Amino acid sequence: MAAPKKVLLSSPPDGGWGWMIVVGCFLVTICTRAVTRCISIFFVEFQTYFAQDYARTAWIHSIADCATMLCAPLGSFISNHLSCQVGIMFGGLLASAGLILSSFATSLEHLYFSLGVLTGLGFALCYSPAIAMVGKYFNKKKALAYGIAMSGSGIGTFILAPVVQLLIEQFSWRGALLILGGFVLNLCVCGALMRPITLKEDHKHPPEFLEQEYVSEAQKQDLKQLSSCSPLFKAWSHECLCCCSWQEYNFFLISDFMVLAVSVLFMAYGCSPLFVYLVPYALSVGVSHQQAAFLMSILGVIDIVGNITFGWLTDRRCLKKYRYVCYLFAVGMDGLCCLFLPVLQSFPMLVPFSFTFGYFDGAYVTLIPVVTADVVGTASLSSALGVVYFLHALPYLVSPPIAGWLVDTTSSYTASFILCGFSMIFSSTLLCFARLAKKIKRTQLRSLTRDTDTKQQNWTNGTTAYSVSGDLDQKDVEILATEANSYSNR
Amino acid sequence: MRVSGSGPGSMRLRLLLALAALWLSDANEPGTAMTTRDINQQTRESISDYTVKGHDLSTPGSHLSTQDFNQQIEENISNLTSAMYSISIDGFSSAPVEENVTLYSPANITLLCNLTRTSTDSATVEVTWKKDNERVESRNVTINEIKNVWSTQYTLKIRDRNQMGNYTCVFKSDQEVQATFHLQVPQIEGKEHHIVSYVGDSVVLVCKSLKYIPINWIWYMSNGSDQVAVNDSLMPDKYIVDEKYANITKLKILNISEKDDTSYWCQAVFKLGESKGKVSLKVLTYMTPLKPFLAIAAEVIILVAIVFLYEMYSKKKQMHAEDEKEFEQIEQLKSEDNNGVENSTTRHRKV
Repeated sequence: MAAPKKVLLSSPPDGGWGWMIVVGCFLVTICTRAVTRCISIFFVEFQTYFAQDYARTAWIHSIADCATMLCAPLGSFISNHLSCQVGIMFGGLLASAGLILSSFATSLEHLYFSLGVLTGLGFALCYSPAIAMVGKYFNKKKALAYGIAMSGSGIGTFILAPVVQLLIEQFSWRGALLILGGFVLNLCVCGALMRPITLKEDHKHPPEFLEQEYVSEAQKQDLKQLSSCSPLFKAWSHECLCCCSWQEYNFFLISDFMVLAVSVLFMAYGCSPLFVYLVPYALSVGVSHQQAAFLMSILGVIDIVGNITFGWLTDRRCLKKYRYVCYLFAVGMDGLCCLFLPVLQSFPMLVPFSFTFGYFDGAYVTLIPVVTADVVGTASLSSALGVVYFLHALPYLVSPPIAGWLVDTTSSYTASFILCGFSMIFSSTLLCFARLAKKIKRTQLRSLTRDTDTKQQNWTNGTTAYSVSGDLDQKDVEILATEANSYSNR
Repeated sequence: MRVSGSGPGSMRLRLLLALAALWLSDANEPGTAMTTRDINQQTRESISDYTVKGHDLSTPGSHLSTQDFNQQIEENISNLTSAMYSISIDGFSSAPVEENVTLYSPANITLLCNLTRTSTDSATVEVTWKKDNERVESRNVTINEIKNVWSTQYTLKIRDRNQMGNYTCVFKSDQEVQATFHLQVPQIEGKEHHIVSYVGDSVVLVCKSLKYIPINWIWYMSNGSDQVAVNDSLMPDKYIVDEKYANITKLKILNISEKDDTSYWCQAVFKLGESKGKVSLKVLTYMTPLKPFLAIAAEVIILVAIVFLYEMYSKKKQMHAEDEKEFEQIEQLKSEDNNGVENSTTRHRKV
């Protein structure tokens, strides 16, 4: 029997099994993000049972959220070296074990470990690999696929919250945690769906890049990584591990990625207190409890709409080149909404705020993986996403308490909302300036290449030229390629 | 009782009414059929001082009064609150009006009924007061008529539970109309849903009385149709009553068994009586949530098996298709080769 050949696809399939991957990622988002949000429904029960106050019980949610984000790089590391399927299935088993152990809890510390650390770690092993997998399967419809996949957190929260409440009423919190553990086992099914895929681009040899239309620095590194790290037993030897890790995380050297990372820090800092403090702020300006809850529901539902529609929009040919701009526009709009919030003092004025903020929140959440993929390429996407989500963890942990402290000292919400708004606008302007700087560099490079005569040699040995303009988009590369041809024909 | 202007209590009452008249303000509000009340009470040390705010909203077209007045009462009993509760009745043809009055501690109460009379009604009206359908003495009752409004007042001193009950003022001429005040202690809310717990686990049952602080809490357990008091000193490793705050009581039941699957009653003892709230406990075994869990686990295993089987099947199909393609290509090359060889030999011969 012939040896099993690896199917090398020339480009991402953009459909077929890819839609099953989207379904899998959608379920992963439900089982991780939505379940984490629903943990807070258990707090009243924990407070009564363990006779503790709200602050100590709320730590469970913080630990789980933080563990999910902090261990995201670990998740991408494991799924890169073992396989995505094994990584996600293992994460699902771990999270389920954490929830089942919690149902036998006898103290709050027990819950900190099982519901906070174990479950958070399990979720971390699933979340970023699943998102990275979607990016590998889609190119033309990438943003739409991500939109559908990320809408899982909104839809999941919407459906799971009343279901969890019902489970608690029927079975008390122990039974509800046990059944939730069973529900989270579905992560194993999602893991099984994540069939690995290798693209021809990942196996290209360096001299061939001249014929290639779009090559990035990242893809050349992928080749070196694959050739030296594929045998599993070799991967566990010390030196290869170091060398693999170093090559895996080479995207750190890309300046665009550093800019993206810093901007993500500020953006995560700006957006997290808003979800915590919108309802208390609404109550403080005189909105009733039901209306405040309604504001949160609008936020949740429009979040889902923003996910999918913005994903579809940025897949249109006219907007595809400007995805980066759309991303920074969405973040900037969110920041602007935050700045206006202290002025909105009544329910009819807060409703449009909920609409706008929710829509653009869903929009940029969809575009984070897309923009990361554009910057680092699909092979390192898993590790890069791990790092990006890791960078969300610290702001999520730090920002709500700081905002709370500001509210307490200034006795109003204005200061904290303005800080959030400026943080997000700063993140957006940082990206804007980075883009402008690159454009200026590119025009300088172009004027340079037109003037010099020693062009020819540069093109045949053109690694340097290509690495500087590593993420030129297609149009510019074509211009340069035609110019190269014109020189070689002289 | 016919209207009379004289009597010892009526002097004080007239003072009251005169002050009331000074502060009267009419406010017409669009029709609410219910009577609502908003009373503030304040206590002072030596002289009883009270601030009463009563909003009376009766059926439209009637006279509405918002009363807001301070008054000193000559009683020398310290630490007693005084309050006035009033109902306005709109004509003889209206339905009987009811009012719930929550009393927390001993107080001096004045109940006021106002009847708005139309010009067609007869001039004589008989007014009686009843407590729990028994007529009361007329000593504490005063009756007045100002313009078209008949008002009657009944002052009583609430000292203990004997004075609590239902007080009704009845106006009778050709027709009869009445209004009832229900004097009761603060009600305790239990929980409508069951509290669920498991065999061998422990559970905490909570009862709250946030506005009014009871003197004491007693827990009862229903045993068939009886209610048996829960004695936490007799069985300290089964029941623990936590009374950290006076207005919240928590009963912790340890080592739960199937026998504990009943209703529990938390009784709040006030100076003027008791009131109960119900909390029911439902006891389950661990098998109950385990069944849905095992069902979901089985579904997961089946789905994972299906996905992996499908993956192996589609890989096999792919390999099969590729093998066939390769085979065809090899065949094609071979046949071309053969043709080529033939052509060359022909050429050779020709040459």
